[in-house]
Amino acid sequence: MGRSKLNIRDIGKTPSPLTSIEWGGLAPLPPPYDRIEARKKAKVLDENLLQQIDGSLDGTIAVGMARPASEAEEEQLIERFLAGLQKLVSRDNNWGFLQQLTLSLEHCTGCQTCIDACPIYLSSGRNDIYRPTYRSEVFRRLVNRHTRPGGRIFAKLQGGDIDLNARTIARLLELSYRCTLCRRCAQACPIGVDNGLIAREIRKLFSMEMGIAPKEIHEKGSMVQLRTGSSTGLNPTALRDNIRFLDDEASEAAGFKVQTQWDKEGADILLMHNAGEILSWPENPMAFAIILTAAGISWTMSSELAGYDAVNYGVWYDDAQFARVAQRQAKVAKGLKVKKMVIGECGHSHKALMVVADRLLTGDLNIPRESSLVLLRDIVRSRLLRLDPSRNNFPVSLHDPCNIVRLMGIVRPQREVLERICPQFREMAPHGVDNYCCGGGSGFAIMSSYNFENWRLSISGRMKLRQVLEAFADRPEPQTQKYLCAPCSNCKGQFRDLFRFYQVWENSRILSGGLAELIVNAMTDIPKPFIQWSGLSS
Amino acid sequence: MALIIAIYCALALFFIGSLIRILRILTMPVHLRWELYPVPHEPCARARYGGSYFEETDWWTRPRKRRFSGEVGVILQEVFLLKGVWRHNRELWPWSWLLHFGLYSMIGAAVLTLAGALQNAAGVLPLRPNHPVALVLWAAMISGTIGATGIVAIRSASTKLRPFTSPWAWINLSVLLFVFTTGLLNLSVNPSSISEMILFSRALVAFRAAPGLHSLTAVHASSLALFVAYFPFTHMTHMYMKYFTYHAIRWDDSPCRSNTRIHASIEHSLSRNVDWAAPHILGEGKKSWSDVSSEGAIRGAK
Repeated sequence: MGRSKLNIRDIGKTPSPLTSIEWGGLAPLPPPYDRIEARKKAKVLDENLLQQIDGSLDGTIAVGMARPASEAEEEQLIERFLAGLQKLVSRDNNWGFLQQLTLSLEHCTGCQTCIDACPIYLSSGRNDIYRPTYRSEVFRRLVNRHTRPGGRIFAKLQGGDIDLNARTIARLLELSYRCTLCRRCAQACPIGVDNGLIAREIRKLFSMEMGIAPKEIHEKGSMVQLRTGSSTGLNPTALRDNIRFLDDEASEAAGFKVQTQWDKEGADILLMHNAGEILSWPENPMAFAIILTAAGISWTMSSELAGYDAVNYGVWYDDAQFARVAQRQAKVAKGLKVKKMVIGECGHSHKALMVVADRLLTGDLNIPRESSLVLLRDIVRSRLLRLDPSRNNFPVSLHDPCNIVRLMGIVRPQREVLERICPQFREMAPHGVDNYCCGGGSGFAIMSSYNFENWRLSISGRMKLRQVLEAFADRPEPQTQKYLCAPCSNCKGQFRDLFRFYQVWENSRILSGGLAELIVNAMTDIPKPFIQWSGLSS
Repeated sequence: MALIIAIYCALALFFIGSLIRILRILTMPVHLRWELYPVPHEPCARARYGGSYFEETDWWTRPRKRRFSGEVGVILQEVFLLKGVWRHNRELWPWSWLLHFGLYSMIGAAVLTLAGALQNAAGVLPLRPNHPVALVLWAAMISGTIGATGIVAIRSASTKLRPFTSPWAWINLSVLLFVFTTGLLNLSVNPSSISEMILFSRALVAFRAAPGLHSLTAVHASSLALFVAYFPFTHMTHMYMKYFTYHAIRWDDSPCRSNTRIHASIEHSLSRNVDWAAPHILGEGKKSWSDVSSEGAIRGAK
């Protein structure tokens, strides 16, 4: 990696790229993964593409902002950016995050205490531009210069004006997508400055003022969800067809009739999965259906628009999209008169609906919301199911999704389940609220445009890959099947790609999956093992 | 007398500046939840591993137990031991701790001196050498000088810190270093420095002209006045603004319940107009957040 010599003002000055990734300088991986990586070739962006799209940050493009075609276009771009800056510090437009943002912008002392908490910075071999403080400092200077009285003086005192041009804007946009919003840095900050929040607010400015966001999250994500009911594009008819098929599969696996209830008024529980599970990890919703049926729980799923997909991508980049999705989800629950909503194994949906939306869902829309990990813990604890831990007698480790653990404090329930049903359960180091992000957080797991996937797997997922391998270091041989429990759809998506990229299944026989699957696998009533080991992740 | 007036002005600036800063944050709209765990007001067993009330079944039906002492414990460790810096930035910790200890000791010495002056003015305390003040002042100046020098050195030498040390940060450090070094110099070369400071504080309390001061005492008192006046306009206010970053944001896990202050503030905020200009927002500066989040969705998704 290009090391030090960092000058904050370079963001608007240095000819492209601002930094280049030296793949040999990344944090080392254990064998054979170092050799596997050495054989991989980083995807280099096409010169013709770079004529049109700015890739001048680090040779990687996550969002891809078009270069302005003329000076007039550049001026217009700058004007829109400045308008967005003003709105970000206004009460009307940013009431929900104004206090957090102001405090984080005004009190950083630049002590860099947070930087080694960032898995991306560490993975990159400590590349300066990936410090959590770097993008924040650039942004802080822009805010002070352009929104405060006496901004010119502020700029001088803060180390000089940052040139505000199309290149700066494009780089700042990309930089806001070099952070997974895991907020490990915020946890380390002795003052309470939140650089993760600043990254999110920058994303918001681009989306809400300039209409610029990664297409996987916005155009193909939250916009599709609002139109069809799910970011996957599953409409209610397709959903019911899919679930009907899964019910048949589940019944066959369970040896008893499993039938998902639809739109059942007054049910105790409205179960909301990340709809991506239904398509990509169907064993997870199947496992839930088996468990809830066997435990005799009164539950339902909704076939209403937005009622069957718990995702809310807005939480990563756009307050309006966030509020729209959250309101619709709550309205569905209200209509069904359920006692509570239970969020499936999806981290960001947990945080979005249970925490961030809590103060948006006022009055009768504030339906009680609970984590499925708590529900599963209660079911296991209550002995409603007959479970045999010896059925799970293989090494199991647990990944803590940042949204559920560090950002919500749900730490013990999933561990209690694993301690009861997995005799070879072992923790990662560090774990719990100190965990490392999987590298797919804040939408990264579904972002693969241009050459971003390369960066996501090699850099943002690197620390987690090392952690996973270390957790199973006592049984590295591929003859031993190992299970990585990742109770979050996005994390599973990241692990699927990460394991495929590094051939983890072939070399270490590690499978990633959810928590519910392990419970079903331990059920004595189920005739055959539920977990399928045949290289699903690879 | 000019110095006495300068100190009064500095104190006025300090309190007004700090008040404005605090009120600005206090009067901001109630924010959306953005907590970060561990949250230390959770019951002991849970706080230890970073757990929350979300771990409880039907958490909304259970009374919330908030352990105020948990928050106080963490804040005290953070303020007096700089625990976060100790954990995550060990090379900076000794210097930072010494600097902070110097500042706290200086505040302590000022409180002791002024308390003595007030007692004296009330006729409670006779004039006598003030050993505790001397001890605390020496500790403050030695510790602060070493700490500030260490931080200047480490910020100058470290490629990690230098790019993030702005001219403003250098000014802050210079002011601190000036305050501590003039104080240390005064204590070292001026044998009557302590009694002068005590007499000066009595003059301050009585609002009358100070007795003739050694030039070093005058310089040190002037530098202190400058520091006090300047403080609320710097990021050094993290000393008290930490209350908000920790208590009001990181640890604010209060659920939104009907008929509460949070609920009322949120209702008001939802009626604010949305002016964001991206095509999908559809606020046009006329619609409220409430409208945009409930009605704008379908049109926005086309």
